[in-house]
Amino acid sequence: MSAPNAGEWLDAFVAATDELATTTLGLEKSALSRNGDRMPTGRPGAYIGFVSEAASLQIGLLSTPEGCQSIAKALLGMAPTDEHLSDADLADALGEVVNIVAGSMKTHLAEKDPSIQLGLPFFVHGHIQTKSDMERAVADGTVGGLPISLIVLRQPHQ
Amino acid sequence: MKVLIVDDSKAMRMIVMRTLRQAGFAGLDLEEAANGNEALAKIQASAPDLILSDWNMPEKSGLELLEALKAAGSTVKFGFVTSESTPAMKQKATDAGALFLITKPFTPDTFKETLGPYLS
Repeated sequence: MSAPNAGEWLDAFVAATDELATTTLGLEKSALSRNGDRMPTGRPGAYIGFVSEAASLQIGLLSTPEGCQSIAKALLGMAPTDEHLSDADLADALGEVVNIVAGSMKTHLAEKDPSIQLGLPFFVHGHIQTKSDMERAVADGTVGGLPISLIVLRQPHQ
Repeated sequence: MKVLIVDDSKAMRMIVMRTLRQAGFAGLDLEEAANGNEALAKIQASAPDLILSDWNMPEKSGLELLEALKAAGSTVKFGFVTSESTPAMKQKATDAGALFLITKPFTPDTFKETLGPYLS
């Protein structure tokens, strides 16, 4: 059985995001499609790492600043018009969103690679610089009408 | 009844507390801890009846917390509320003495069904 490639990770990412959006977050179904390996620029977002015997990975769920606020508020059961969350609370809530999504991905992909281990989430306001030998897979679109980019950065182990 | 909620995410601790209320568990004395080390200190200080713990946390994980409690002879009721639910993790949790493993995202119905025997 071969370890999942970046595209398979992205497919699992899209499916897990859609599931969380339409259940816990109470948002409309997502409309996300693969967009090659073009990295989005200027979007903040939450990331989480995986490591397995085959590769190290980072996945990121990115949106506009307003989109990040809306997703975090949805998780917390707040109305979109409620006062904006502080940077710390935004990072915490969006980190938990990506943590839940990543847990679902791990459960799904463990059939192909039981060695997958999940890390802890973190939030990035700026640009992520990737290495040239990293596999990249990107999906762009909307979740509940909010602009979303999902990225997978996979570094195969030598 | 005292319930200690252990999660490094403040948002998730709030969601767990909200879901307990939505599941109909009223009148609970709820406490929070952000990692296993903080939880150990609170357990010694306040002797909770039930611990709901995340698995992945900085400093001391949920599994390490449970193992530390068992090694110290604690019989406190302990269950995981975590984003991961592979068969291997469920087995590890059971082997370590966890009573249940609730997977995020969860619903009030899940809480009612799983926690009812311990909080009624």
